[in-house]
Amino acid sequence: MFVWDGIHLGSEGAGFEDSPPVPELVTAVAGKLSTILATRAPGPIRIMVAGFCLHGHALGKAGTLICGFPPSQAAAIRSYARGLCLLTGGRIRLVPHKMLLGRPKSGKLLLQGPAGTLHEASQRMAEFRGLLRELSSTRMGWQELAFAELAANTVRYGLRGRMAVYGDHTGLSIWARDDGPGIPLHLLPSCLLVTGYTTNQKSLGAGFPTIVRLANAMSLATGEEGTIVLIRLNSVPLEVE
Amino acid sequence: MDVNIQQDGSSVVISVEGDLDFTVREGFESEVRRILSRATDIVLDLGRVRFIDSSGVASLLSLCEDADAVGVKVRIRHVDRELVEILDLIGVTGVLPLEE
Repeated sequence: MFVWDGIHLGSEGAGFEDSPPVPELVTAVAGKLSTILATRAPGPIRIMVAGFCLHGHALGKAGTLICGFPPSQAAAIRSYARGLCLLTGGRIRLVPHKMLLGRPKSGKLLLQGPAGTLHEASQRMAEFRGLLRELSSTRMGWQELAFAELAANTVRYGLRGRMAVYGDHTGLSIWARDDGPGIPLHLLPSCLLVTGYTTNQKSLGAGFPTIVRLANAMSLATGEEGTIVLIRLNSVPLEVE
Repeated sequence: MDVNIQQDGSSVVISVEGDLDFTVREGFESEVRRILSRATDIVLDLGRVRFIDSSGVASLLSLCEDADAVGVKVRIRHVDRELVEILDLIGVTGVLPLEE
């Protein structure tokens, strides 16, 4: 077991003997989960973060992690929530659905509507572009990109998707909900953090990782009820009344 | 998004104008795929593309792969600095055949 600044790194079984030196391993975990997977020979792996454990099985291929869970699903979810939060510097929070059903604590509702079909999502995209022009004279390309990636996901995974945008003078929050099958817990790290990982042949597998890079904060709820994402994008001062 | 196609022998220049994103992906792909069978060399001019997302990038990659499979060479030119920043963020700058 390696210990570094409160983060414990360890693995069990085959595949650990040929691991890179500890500093490289730590850097990989701190920076990008995919890096550690890419350097891993096939075999079981266990990543412990602040006492919480992510069990898995590296397949010796970048971006592939198949996780096994402890008997208690609730414990696994707590573990994931803590792990993802810590691995992303506190920017990703995995939360229950009910936490994301209401409006955010702050910000004025600026836009909302259905976004489950391509037509609906295209309309929301056009409205969002118009909104950005109203809010700031500065080009807000990153906000536009984040909205486009969320809208594309909403279309891809279900027909009853919805999107909303809230804002104040310090930035925007984008909310997106789909009624798809949800992201299986064991695929979450790959879907969120590994560019190129996708379960959909038509997708590049860059949507979520791009959103993660852009968002100052991201809350995500996923399960049989579908997936809800709320991201916060800080920005130049906006003209929100 | 508008797509303008100019053919000179077996060389084709496809000029794209507007936003290359998830809203136009299917239309863009069907438009450019028709060209593959009658070209040996394709230049994709993105000088008038204002915005691209990962769906647009997926279209470009798909075009490059399909072209490569039938021996057609693809080059992408006039990519705006803001577009390059997006491609960098998505992580595909080194994968696409971008011309200086």
